[in-house]
Amino acid sequence: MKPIDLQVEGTKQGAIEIARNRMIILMALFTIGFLTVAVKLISVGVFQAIPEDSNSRSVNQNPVIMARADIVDRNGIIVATNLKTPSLGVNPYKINDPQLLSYKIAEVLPSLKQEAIFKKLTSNRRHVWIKRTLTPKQMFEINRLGEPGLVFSAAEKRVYPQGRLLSHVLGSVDIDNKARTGVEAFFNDRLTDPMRSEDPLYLSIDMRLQYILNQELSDFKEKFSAKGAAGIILDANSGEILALSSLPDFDPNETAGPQNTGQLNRALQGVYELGSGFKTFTLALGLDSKVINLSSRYDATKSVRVSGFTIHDDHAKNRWLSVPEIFVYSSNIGTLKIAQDIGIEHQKEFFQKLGLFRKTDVEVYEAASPLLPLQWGPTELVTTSYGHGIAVTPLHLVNGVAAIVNGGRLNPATLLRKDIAQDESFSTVRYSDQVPRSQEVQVISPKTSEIMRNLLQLVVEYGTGKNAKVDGYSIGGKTGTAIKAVGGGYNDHSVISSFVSVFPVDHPKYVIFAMLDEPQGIKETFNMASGGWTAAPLVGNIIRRIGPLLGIAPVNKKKIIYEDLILVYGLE
Amino acid sequence: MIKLFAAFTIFTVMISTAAVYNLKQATYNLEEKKRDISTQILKDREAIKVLKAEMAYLSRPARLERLSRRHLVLDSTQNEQLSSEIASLSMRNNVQMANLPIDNFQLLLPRKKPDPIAISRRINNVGQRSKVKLASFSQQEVQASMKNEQNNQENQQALAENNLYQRILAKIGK
Repeated sequence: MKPIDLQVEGTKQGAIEIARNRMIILMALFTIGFLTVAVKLISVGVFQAIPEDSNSRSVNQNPVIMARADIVDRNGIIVATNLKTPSLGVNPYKINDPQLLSYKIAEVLPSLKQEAIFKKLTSNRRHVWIKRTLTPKQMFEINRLGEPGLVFSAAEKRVYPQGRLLSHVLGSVDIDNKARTGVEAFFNDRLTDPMRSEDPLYLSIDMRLQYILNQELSDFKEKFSAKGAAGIILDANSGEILALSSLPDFDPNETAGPQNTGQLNRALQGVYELGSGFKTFTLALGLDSKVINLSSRYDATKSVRVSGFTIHDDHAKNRWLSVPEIFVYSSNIGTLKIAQDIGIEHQKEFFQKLGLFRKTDVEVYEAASPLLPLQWGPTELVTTSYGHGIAVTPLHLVNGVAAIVNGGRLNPATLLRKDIAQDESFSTVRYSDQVPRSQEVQVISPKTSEIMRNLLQLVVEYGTGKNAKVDGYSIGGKTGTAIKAVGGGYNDHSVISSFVSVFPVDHPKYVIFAMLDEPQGIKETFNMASGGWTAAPLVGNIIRRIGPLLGIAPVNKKKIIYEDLILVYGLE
Repeated sequence: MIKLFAAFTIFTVMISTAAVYNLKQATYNLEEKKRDISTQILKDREAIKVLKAEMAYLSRPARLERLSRRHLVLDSTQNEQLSSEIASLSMRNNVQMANLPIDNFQLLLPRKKPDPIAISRRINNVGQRSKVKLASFSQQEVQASMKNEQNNQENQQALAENNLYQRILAKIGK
């Protein structure tokens, strides 16, 4: 096609030239503009990545929930978890009718007073908290009020579904989820580690045993009007604490209120002179170091004076006693004479080996150090031999007895489940800050351990621990009744009664300890408050209940090996 | 020719731009969907946590014990109900072995359904009897067959050998 070629002459030609030139410039400009748009469009469509939404990124990287990992028992039952709970706040400037609204809120939240709510609704500030941690139902009800001035903000709350049952082991957290005591505090770094918030911390505790222990302790505490009670069930071979209870206890879910009630953990924090349980150690040492043998005899006809103190027997026989008899009848005189034969150095060394001079390895910060005598002279030699003049936590005793009966191996007590390698690396790191975690130590020979098991069984069969007998099970145990030191002296009427027992005695699996703080004798026990009358039946009850639960079959009664070495008469 | 080429180019550019735009929109939608799902997962996880906590709360030993006492006729196990060796069991005829040797488990095959009339009769009888006998039909069948077998064996074997242990060994085929 041939373009139309208009020829214009003269001045008009000049004007058309200008117009055409301008047109070309304009077109060029438009072309450049559209090209830019097109290029930009293509570059946006093809090359530019879709911007990552800030919301989805936060979802992937740190989950909103679980700023603190769960704690579960050895069977995976949740004992501590974090839940998101809404808190109710208000912007008072957006409220039209505070009077009416305060009545409505008070109806939904009966724990708050209407006047208090009204005061908050009319406050001058921009944001006021009305109530923290609402239940989902309460939140629904508040939302139904349809008041725009009320705002919810989600906060995490530590929840302990088991309530008071495990309070002393777990400890508690404050209102800002800061750990204060117990396992919560000790493993704080582990629990708040964002990389590990998904995998729970496995405790060695078995909630079924914990429940039984707790229930029996509180029954007996009430029965004997005791001030407090404590109990431990320890795996004799691994050192795992299967149950640990101390009464009075507290509800870790309640952060408010007086903080001092029931906070003392008698099993780990309280130190007591535990009395005759220590005779187990003295005899084990005597037999192991060959200072005595089973046919040794000691004169227990009359009380002994040591450095101005007269020491006599609670269950006096007033005759010469063989070594098994000293143990079975819990003779202070016999034991102190054995200790005198052993000597101070040996005794100290053995106690040191048993870990009685330092804190236990248990994973709570509040675990107490023992109270030791200032000097270790002849008086301390004899008093510590039967558990006076040295104050330790119940766990010290239980751990030591476990070592005596399990073949002589002292395993550090732990609150973590051992068979899964969960916090091995972690706990060694933690420990290296303070004291290196102790390894398994051989404290006595397996042979002595076997003798001790038989002696412990004799105590339950014929001696002070008769009330702990359970039909069908062979149990070993040792009672302890210690007069409490009150205000520098001893008060005869307040005692610490305890019983430490081994079950089943032939192949020890569990060491069970129960202690009552200041029990009062009742008619049923002929007004006796000693360990044999109060704590022994308590432990018997526990064994009766946990035995079938743990699948321990009953055994036929067998003759105990050293039965012939003790003299039993009448209905003793 | 050049114009044709230009027209083709423009057309191609338009098509490909539209395609790219479409693709991009689809991706964006997917992204949005993913975000929604992530939020949903979070919500669900939260709900699971709450349910787990509730589960732990509702299965507190104290509560279970209370409920069991109220609704069940069961008591806690006593140690005489356990046994570690077969020889210590008594020679009662109605004793059922709970744990046969591990490699001799019976194959569980479908059985004839129990007669519904018999069941209704049974349920009516329950009210009259003071104690409920807890035995399933299959157990009764097994017991009956064991008794038959026992009768057969009694003719062949000496009486002294005829205790429970041997009966079971015979049944297993050793």
